Amino acid sequence: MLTAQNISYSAGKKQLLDNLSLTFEPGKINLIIGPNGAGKSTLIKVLSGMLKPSTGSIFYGINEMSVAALAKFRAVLSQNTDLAFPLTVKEIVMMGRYPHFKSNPSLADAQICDEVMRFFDVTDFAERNFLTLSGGEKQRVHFARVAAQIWQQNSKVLSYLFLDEPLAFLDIFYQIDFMNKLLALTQQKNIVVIGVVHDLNIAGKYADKLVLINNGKVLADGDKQTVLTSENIFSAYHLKPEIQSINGDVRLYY
Amino acid sequence: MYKVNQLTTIFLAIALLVTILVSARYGAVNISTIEMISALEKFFSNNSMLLLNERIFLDIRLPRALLCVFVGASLAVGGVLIQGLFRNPIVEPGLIGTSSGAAMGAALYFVLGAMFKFNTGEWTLPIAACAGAIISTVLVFVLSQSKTVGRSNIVTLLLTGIAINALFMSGVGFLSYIARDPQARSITFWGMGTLSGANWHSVIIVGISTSLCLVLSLRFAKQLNILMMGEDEAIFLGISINQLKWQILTVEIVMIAIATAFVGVISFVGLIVPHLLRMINGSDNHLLIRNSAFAGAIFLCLADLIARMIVRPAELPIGIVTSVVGVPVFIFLLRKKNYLF
Amino acid sequence: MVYRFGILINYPNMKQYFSMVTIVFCLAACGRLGNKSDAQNRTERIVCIAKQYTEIIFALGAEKNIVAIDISSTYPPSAKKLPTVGYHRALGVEGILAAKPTLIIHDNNIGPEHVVKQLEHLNIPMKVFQNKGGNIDSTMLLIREMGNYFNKNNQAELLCKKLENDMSVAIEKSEQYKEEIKVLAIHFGQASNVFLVMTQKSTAAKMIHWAGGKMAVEDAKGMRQLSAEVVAASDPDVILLTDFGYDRLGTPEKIKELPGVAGTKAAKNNKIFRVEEHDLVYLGPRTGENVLMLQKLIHQ
Repeated sequence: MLTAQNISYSAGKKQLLDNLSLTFEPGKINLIIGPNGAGKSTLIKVLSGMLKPSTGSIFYGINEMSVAALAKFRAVLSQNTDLAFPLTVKEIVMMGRYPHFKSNPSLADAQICDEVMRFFDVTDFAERNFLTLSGGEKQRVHFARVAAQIWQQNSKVLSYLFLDEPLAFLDIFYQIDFMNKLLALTQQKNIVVIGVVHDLNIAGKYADKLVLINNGKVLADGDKQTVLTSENIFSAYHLKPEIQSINGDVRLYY
Repeated sequence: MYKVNQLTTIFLAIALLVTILVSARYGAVNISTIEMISALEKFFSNNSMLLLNERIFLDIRLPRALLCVFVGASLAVGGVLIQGLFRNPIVEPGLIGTSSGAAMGAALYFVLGAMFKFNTGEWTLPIAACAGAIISTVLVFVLSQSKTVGRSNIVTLLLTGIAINALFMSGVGFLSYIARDPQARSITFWGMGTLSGANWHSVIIVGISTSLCLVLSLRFAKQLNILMMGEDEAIFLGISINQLKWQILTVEIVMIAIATAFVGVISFVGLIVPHLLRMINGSDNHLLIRNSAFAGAIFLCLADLIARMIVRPAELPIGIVTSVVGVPVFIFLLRKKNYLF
Repeated sequence: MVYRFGILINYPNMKQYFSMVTIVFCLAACGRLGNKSDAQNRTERIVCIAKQYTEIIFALGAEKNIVAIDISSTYPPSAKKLPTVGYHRALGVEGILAAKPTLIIHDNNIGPEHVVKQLEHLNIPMKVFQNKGGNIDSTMLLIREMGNYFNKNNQAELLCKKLENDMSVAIEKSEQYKEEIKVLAIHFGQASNVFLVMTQKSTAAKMIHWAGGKMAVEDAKGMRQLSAEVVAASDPDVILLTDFGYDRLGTPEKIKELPGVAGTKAAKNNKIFRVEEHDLVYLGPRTGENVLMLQKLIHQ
């Protein structure tokens, strides 16, 4: 469980987050949506610990932690991670295990990497130069890496996965592929998943809980049907799409 | 994954041994293997009846070869550290001001030492060089910081490096000019480097500094790997960036400064060697640091051999040889598409 | 099999390649065993790194064991046939060692410093003569000292006699010249690669004085860097250039392009002359003749 209470954040004169209080449960896909400039990126940075909020606090179950200790069960996936030098896919996935060993990876670490690579279907790429992969393949490898970082042997340990617009540079095939893998991951592992997405249809299909942010404030917070309503959409995006509920998914037609 | 790559390290270690022997053998005077062996025998049995060639081997060739080894290793590993820190293959200690600052510090020591004749300990020269290197490197670092992002843009870094290098090398030039004693080191020495002054004293000092810094460098390997993905990712993976930056810079400055104090500015080794090794064994910094130490030593030994043989009995400054090899590599890296700016 | 940059690398092949290269290296390192050893060769091999000494040694007839000299030792012409070890202020240890010296003769004017240290460390015998030869008396003492050292005492005496006679003739001749000619002597410094002017403190100044001239530049040191101000202030009647510098420029026109030279009386009257360095910058057996030569030259 991750609880955020009365979070505010300002940069200079601009108030980016205004008194937000949210709760996120494990085993669910929690997604944050909202228009550009709403404060989604800032929110996820604050939740992941990258930024310190001006007021309010965040509870991860454990409070004050060193950066190194936190890295053992909290991972963040960005929209685009560039790599300065060529490395193999296998080396990159292994980097996810770095918080867990001092100088050399253990057998357990190697096994976890193999498991993770199978899970994310990148075993065929293992020895390939990362820089030669396509955008979608690269993001999959990074997903494998962050998953390896928080892959716990003991299922009682709770991990936290933050996704900051991970689909931004992916084509539709890789977007769906990503979300399906995220779904599988959430179901199989004990993780609190919090992600920022742009596409409302993706949100409408995959989210167990949605948080709609606008102007630094929570506009709506709840399940798909509660959040994706005409009033909310219009209020945030100034659009009037047709909204349908099909098989538990919410679909928007623009 | 790691097992196969041990092969390269073993090969490099053997090649280094061989290179040292070749380097000690050839020169304006060729020393035969028999003479080298007997010289070593006599040295260990404290026999001071040495033939001229044996003396040449023990007092001139061997320290020179060993100095090449330590300086070459320092320069190459310094290159790996800086490239990892700035996440770019086109930087090396010489380009970010470290070498020129060290040269300035050392030149100041020589000129002031001659003027004021103060009694200096063994370590005053290296310390002066380190002081100079710290000033110049920090200057480059600070002046090239982007206000918005808070980290150095690579082009700005290189340009600032050029400016600071020019500043400090003109300082060296000025000091060479005003040095009353014609025996004070010349600008050629500082600008292009030479190993002709090698003696056991310098070998010991540079050897100690290099060995210590190499051991420390290996500890940074894992963190440098993570840093390859960017500072944000590094934070997510548990690295404290600022601490790492200053630790790496300190090690790099000390290692390069002490080497530069004794041999002058030698450019491009830190650029060429890591690049070649990445092509063979990838960018994992564990391997890279280890192999660069060996490969850098081999490279400088060979460059010194060329410098000594090509205009025999005169000697080329070694920087000329490393530049002739290094500039094409530099330009090649500039134009390469795979690497990111 | 591994992909690196899309190139397939087959490790077994790499191994073979590496071992081949290693073997080649090892062979190169070992080389042929049984080099000819120097221990059997007992004759004296002398390297002389001082032009004044070189001239005197040849004049004494003691040049038999000289195997190499420095690049500034240009007199007598037969000396130029010997291999050189480089410029005396920019020596390389190996260059000297290549001559396999059993003795190095120098005048304490060699550099760089670390080369001197290395030579000392190698226990190679070095000889510096006591007398410096900065004036005629000292020069004669030097000739006698060297004559004694090389067992050429008789020849040394002959040389001193000749020098004495030549000098008296020269001094006598100089009486006939009424005016003192102002001379600017330009020299090219091969260590620093710049043009220098000789000052009143230099040995050349003495020769000029005996020749009935006056060195036009004053300074604390024997040489200073050529600059337009120095040339203008000196206002010379005659300009002399030593051989290397003169040949480097080639023609009087080129010489007039040096800073400040074009405006001098010497340039306007085309009184720019070439002088061999070995005739001007040090004293030796031929100084008397050289003074006479200089007299004629500058009083043209």
